[in-house]
Amino acid sequence: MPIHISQYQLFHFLRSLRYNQSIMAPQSPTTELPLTLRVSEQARLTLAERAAASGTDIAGYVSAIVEQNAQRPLSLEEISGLVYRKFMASGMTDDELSDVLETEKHEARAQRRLHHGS
Amino acid sequence: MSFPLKVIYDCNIFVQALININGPGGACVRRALAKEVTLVLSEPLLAEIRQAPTKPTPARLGVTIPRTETLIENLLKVAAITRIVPEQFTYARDPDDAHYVNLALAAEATVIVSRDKDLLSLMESGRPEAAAFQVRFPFLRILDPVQFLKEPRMLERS
Repeated sequence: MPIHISQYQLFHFLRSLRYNQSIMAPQSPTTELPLTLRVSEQARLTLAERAAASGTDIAGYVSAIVEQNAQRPLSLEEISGLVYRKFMASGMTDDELSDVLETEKHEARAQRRLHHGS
Repeated sequence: MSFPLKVIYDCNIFVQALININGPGGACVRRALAKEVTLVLSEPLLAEIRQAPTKPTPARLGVTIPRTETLIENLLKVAAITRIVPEQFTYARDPDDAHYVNLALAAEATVIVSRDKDLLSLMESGRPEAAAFQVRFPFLRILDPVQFLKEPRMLERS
């Protein structure tokens, strides 16, 4: 059965992998899933480059991406890690954090408008 | 038939959730990750989340590019992406806030969650601009995270 991976999905898969230490092999037994991918030539080249850089072929690389995508979402605790501990150590309240984040958001937006002249 | 409520979160809800996982922002994001609500995202919204590591306070507290990307990657596992967002609403008080309203309209979401005073002011009574907004978009509510978490129902009928 042909499977379409849009450039959008591919972009995010590749972006996420860029920040991972390595492509992890699945822990549970694997099963064969023959597919036909329809991607742009540019995407194919990018996949081939990334696969080679990871020491695998396109099939192995895409399998790792699909495996990662199928995993459960990480919890907020897992994602935040030491950020939350630093926040707790800062003594800042949630309301104070909210105020400072809003201020910084509006400063960044103002900078961007200034930069883009709008 | 009922479906999880479609919601838009302001970019800072995500940043605040990353920093204070046990605060109201964290609870909102947990609801999204648990699919108790249908989170709606767009590329401009993701772009604003991606700016978090460049801002002083998140950077000081350890919000890095990889951490932010990991959050986004996990949000993308549960969220609906709206790619075409027509500009139906403009907001002179903060033009960037209009995207949240336009995204809600495009995705047929009924709630925007934000701590942005400009956005929240659209729900105030007694202000002509807010009154006009509420008449034009009576189905759309803008709530702060605490108000949102008190919502009695997280489902809406089709």
